[in-house]
Amino acid sequence: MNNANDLNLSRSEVFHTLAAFWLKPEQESYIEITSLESLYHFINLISETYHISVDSLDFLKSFPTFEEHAKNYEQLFSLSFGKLAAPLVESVYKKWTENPEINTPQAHQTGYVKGDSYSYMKALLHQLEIELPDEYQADELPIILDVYALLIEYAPVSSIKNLSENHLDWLDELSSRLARVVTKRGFGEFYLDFLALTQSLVELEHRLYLP
Amino acid sequence: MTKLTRRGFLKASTATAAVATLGTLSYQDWQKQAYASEGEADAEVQISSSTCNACSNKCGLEVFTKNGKLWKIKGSNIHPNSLGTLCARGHGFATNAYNDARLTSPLKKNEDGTFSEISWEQAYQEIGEKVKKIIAEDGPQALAITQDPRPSGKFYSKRFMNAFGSQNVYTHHAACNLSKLTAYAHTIKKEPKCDFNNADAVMFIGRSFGDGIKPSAMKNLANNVKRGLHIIMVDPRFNATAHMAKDWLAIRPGTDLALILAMSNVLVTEELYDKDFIENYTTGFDEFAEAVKDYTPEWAAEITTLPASKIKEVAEFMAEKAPKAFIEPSWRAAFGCSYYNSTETARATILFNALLGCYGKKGGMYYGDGVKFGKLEGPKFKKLPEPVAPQYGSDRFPLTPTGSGSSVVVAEGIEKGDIKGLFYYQSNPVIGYTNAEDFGKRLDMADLVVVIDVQMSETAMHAHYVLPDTTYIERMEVPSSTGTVADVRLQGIPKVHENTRPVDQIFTELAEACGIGEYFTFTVQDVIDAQIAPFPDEVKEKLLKEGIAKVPVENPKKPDGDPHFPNDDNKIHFADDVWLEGGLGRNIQWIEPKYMPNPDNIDEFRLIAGKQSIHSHTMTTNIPHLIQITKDYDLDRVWINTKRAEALGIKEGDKIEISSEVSTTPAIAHVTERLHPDCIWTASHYGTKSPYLTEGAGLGISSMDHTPFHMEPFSGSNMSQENLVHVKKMEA
Ligand code: SF4
Repeated sequence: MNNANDLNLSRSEVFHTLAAFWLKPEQESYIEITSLESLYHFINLISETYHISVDSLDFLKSFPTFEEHAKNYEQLFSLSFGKLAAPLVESVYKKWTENPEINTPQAHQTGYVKGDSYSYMKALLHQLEIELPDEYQADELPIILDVYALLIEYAPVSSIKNLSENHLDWLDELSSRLARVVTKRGFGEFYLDFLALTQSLVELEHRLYLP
Repeated sequence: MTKLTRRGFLKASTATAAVATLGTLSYQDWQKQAYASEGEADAEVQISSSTCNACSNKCGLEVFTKNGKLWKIKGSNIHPNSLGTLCARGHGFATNAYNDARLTSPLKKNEDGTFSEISWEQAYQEIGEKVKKIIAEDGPQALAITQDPRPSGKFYSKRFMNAFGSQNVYTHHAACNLSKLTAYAHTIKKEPKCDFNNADAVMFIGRSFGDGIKPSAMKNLANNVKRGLHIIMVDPRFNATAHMAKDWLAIRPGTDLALILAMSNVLVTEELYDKDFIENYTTGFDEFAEAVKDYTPEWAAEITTLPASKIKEVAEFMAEKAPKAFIEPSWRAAFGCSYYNSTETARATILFNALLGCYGKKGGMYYGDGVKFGKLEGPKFKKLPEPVAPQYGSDRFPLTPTGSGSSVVVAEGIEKGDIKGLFYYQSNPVIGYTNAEDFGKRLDMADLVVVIDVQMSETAMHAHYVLPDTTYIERMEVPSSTGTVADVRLQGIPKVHENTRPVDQIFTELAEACGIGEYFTFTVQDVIDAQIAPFPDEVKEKLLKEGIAKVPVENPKKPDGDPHFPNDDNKIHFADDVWLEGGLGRNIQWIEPKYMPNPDNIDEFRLIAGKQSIHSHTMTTNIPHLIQITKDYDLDRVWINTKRAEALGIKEGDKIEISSEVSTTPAIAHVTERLHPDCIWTASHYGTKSPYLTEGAGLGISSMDHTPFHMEPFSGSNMSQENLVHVKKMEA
């Protein structure tokens, strides 16, 4: 890396790519990120930026085909599949609200959509003048990762840290639920590995770049 | 505004400038600033109105929201069913709007049995094509719909089916009340209201307000007990209302008819009946008196296991308190749908109440007008076509009111090839109407099954297409009423999932796709406007603004001495040829239940079921905090009588195996003296089978797990408690 700016661009690119992978499948961009060239670039970028051995990223070479990915993604992550899926939605894994005045029975429980996390992310996106297509909720993993990538490039460390500490702190819970789902359904190991990679990159960000 | 594109969607956008403004704000300040920028920080709490959807009481409620999020719900003070209070189910069910196990996209079943998301357009197009094919090959009478009556669902699903020319519209009643409705239809037409506030004695048969809760009724009952109301509870189980009763008659399940016949015998032979009432408002009494003469308390004691002296005592007591005494018309339980003799049992209760002369009397039962809604007329509401055939099943069950029909016979129709396309709206017959395997197998034989629901129910798992509805709190609905109070569900919160659609929209769009769009050229608001048109302006205004309003009616319900039976001659017919059409006798008679466990076989029982106040059938078993109550108090255990348990070596908390001709299921035993020895009991909410809804997974058994697919021959109800099971202790 030549300088801090280059490093930030690399970090940002890694997180934009993670976000792109976790977005709802779309053929063109999926083929783009999983092409051999992009893949080697991505592996090298991660390895250089986060000092991870290339060998540990070997699993990335077994990206499913787009058709498989589209099917797996829907089955494993869509809210439509209830407890047979692990939705990529922050609110689901956090207390619905911290507001003590709200007294509906689910208010301080997990397992619900459109909680505080959603409201905060929605407000942040609004402040950042970002408009989401209807099929996304503001607190979905790819959206948070992409905002994170944006902040790496343009925002002070404190803001980046804020976002990470407050909106990327639920990946362990997602990982446990996904592990249960994968065991139950008998497919989707790749996504567990990819989630583990996402988690370790979030951790490495803290260790290496967010003092 | 920057639109999300794909990879790197935020790069080089206007967002970069906005990012710079974040500076070094703390997260809390950032959050606050972001909130303020959307105007959310200062948002006021908004109050809207709806009616709870968790059970058929449809209690009125107020919905409090802030920033479009649910803040709290509260029972409406003016709605007669809530009177300021909601039950736990009501509070829990509202949270379903945000539950992470909601359906969020139309689904289509794949060949391997899994489901895939599809667009609404694809779903409509394919369903439309299949419906048109069924109509072309077999006519509209090969289509049927079953719905759990709620305001918009009831209106739209009926109109949808009728627009094809099919009368195959069914309700949940076959698994609830069909026997009772059938009995009422041919005696006094409709069920009367009970005047608990002035009554001196009430006999409940199997019904428990404390289990199948209605908040206002429970409060009212408690107040009346304090006032001195004497409750006689007839139930094989000491239920959650029995502690208010002075008498608990732990009857052998399936024999309630014998008890009522014997009580009638006492009143007739001892001439304790209301002679004036019999003379003025009944026909056929002499035949009835002759019919019951052999049904003595001693005869009934053998069958019911109740002491003859007790039967005589309660009959005399009811007569003494008459006309301020009655048998409450119940719900499900012994004469709703449970047994082979349920219709006859319901008929017997109606006639016994006639002996008491309680109809139209203070402290008895009475009729009067409810809210009358305006007609749907004019160019927006095209006249529906004439039906091409009678309702499916009406030839086999000629006495059954077609307003409910037997939704069980429809499943048989699939197997026979008569019914090809089925729609289910907010209805879960696979686990609720009979054993899941049998009902599911039949559904799998149909050409088309469409389920419209908010969650992946057991029935949805057998559908070809599943369409995601909004929850009730996210939509406006057509009006409904309770007594003289009308209500309109107003939208409480914005749609939670973009790709769900409200029931009115789904049926309107389905109609278009199926070629009957001309009958759906109106909006929900148009229906509301037409239905409330006859009301005074101030009532209309209140309804549209506050969702609930009292409506002036000509003859409000009140006991004024005249029974005002809604049938043609204002008389109860003790004996009637009409019953012959349905396979019953002109006169009332004892009918054996289909199954009767042999008490000499130490492992043989009848499995009976009931409600618990924290659940509504299987609709609430994926609601975490309600299911947590189940877990905390072991409410999923199967009750077994202490003596019978001892004989089988079963102790509290032991694992037991329940087997029947239908299935074998494990369960945990609750050993108790509060249950008749001939039966085991379970709450009807458990034994969930959908892997999509796991909160209740592994808890208890479904009461239907051991009930064969069958129908009561007189009404078509599902005979939910006609079964025989064997129980044994499982090795630890
Ligand atoms: S009784 Fe409870 S569940 Fe039923 S409508 Fe009322 S609040 Fe809802």
